[in-house]
Amino acid sequence: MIKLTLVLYLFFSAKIFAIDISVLDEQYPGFHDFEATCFSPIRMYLRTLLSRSVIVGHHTTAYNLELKGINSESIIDFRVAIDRSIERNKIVENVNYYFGNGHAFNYIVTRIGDNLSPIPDIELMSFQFSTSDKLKSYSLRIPEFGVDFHRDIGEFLEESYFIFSAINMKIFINTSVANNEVSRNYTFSYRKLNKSQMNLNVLVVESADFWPMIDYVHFLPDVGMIDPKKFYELLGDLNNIFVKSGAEFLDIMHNNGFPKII
Amino acid sequence: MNVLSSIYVLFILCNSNIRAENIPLPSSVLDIEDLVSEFRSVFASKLVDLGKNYISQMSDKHIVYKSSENLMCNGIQTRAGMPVSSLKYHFSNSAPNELVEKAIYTGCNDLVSLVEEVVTKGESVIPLNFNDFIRGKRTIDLKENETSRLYRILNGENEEIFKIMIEKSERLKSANFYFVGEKFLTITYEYTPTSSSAYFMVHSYAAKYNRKRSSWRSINNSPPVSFSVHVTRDRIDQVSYLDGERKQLSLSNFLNLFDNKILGPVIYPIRGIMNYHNYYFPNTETTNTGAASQRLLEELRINQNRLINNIELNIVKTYIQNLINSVESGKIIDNRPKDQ
Repeated sequence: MIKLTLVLYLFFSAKIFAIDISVLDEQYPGFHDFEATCFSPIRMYLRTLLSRSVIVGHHTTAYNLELKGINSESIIDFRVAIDRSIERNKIVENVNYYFGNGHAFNYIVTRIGDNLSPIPDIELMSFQFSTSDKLKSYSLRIPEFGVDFHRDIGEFLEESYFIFSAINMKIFINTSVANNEVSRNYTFSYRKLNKSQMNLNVLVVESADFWPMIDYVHFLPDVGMIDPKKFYELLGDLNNIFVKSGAEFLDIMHNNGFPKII
Repeated sequence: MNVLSSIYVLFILCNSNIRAENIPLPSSVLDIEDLVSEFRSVFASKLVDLGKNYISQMSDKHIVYKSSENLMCNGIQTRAGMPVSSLKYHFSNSAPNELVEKAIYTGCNDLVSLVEEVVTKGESVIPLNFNDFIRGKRTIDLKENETSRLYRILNGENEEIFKIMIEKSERLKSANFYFVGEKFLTITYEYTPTSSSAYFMVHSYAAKYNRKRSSWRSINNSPPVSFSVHVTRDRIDQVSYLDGERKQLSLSNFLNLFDNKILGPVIYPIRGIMNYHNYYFPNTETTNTGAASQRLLEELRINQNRLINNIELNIVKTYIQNLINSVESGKIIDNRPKDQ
């Protein structure tokens, strides 16, 4: 019984030191961080738009809204329609904004995973959808903008990409776990980047000691090992691409008929 | 049957946190963790930045940081590839149910910046994990399985800067705080099934700490002062703040007393000392990679927008209160220079 107790104790306490993808969470941005950066302006805009509008007509998942100007002298009518396709482990939610001036804006959220439930209408309309780790796959497409953000989550591999055709942005982030190692690779290209493509890799290795130590090794594939300072500077550059693309989203939305309200 | 009973015992052990918890004190009242974090966070964020700025080399609980280029380190030219800082961790079980830990933080030119010594007693006490160690993360208050902790911060010459001794019994927990050997504060927590109380006793003390070209002095000649906070469970928890003569205080009076007797005279000078000892380490830069503060940034933008548009002001009010609670509980750490 003592042996069994010891074995079970070791089993439970081993979890304290087991390495997994979360070892990167605090200092190495992943899909969720970049998506949040990129969509911060659009979320803020849509929240404001919806909170300043009143619903004047409602039919299941289609809403007719009125936005009053700041001085109430002008009224803009628009309509938001949501189409949902719900299968056993997959939900596709398609949101369309239509403005009286003929402009439209459409985005599609696709989620694959167990025990999924639809995103509430108001959250979906204001771009508030979470990319929970329970999902096996998540994607967001905005066809008019050429935007395709995608994330596949497996037990030992996580692959994601961000494509924004309007500014030639292509970013791939792959994270893999094997034995006592976690590796994350960032590959990115962007029209304002000096090089055609940039590659960054961080390898996290846990030693097999009684008190496991974790080594973070940073690589620039065409250079080799680099110091963390350089790595974080380049990661900062990558983050700036998302900051800029977030601002570009808003510009494109305004050009597509969304009123300037902020 | 034996197998089943041992699994049952383990199940109970693993789920021991399910049992009823103490009634929480108001978040605006700083607890042990918050008080220590007020100055220790200065040092912890330096450790995080060292890992982001310099190449690490590891061997047996010893991490050495090296620079890839020549640099001025604490006023002395240091060649590329030479160590600019190192962290050493040691732990042992000197007695059953007792864990002794020592961490040595060394800066430029092999000068020891700070040393931490910790003695923890309790059931199944475990050492820090590596990631917490290199990021300066450490729980100071007692965990469920721990009965006492002695935590000390010393300088390279073995002079004690700060010490806290925490002990607990079934319904009581006490923490004695010392600044350069002078006891300045005792906090006693008392828990019953229907109430929680914290008693603060500020002692008389005369603390001096001298270093080359800098000195700190904190003296309190007044007789000991006490004040307390009490929460009684009801349909809505009843909170009361009392002074030493058991006269009721407003929250604002209570916080002013806390600022004037504890934070201002002692905790902030200790933070100044931590800042001084950070100069033993090489310069570090902080880069925004988007990983850490993104959520906060987005929330701030959304709330700024609410203010600009004069909408959902009650949500902004609640949000600011939540931010205050997060700063007070050490969940948000302010790394801005003092002049901003």
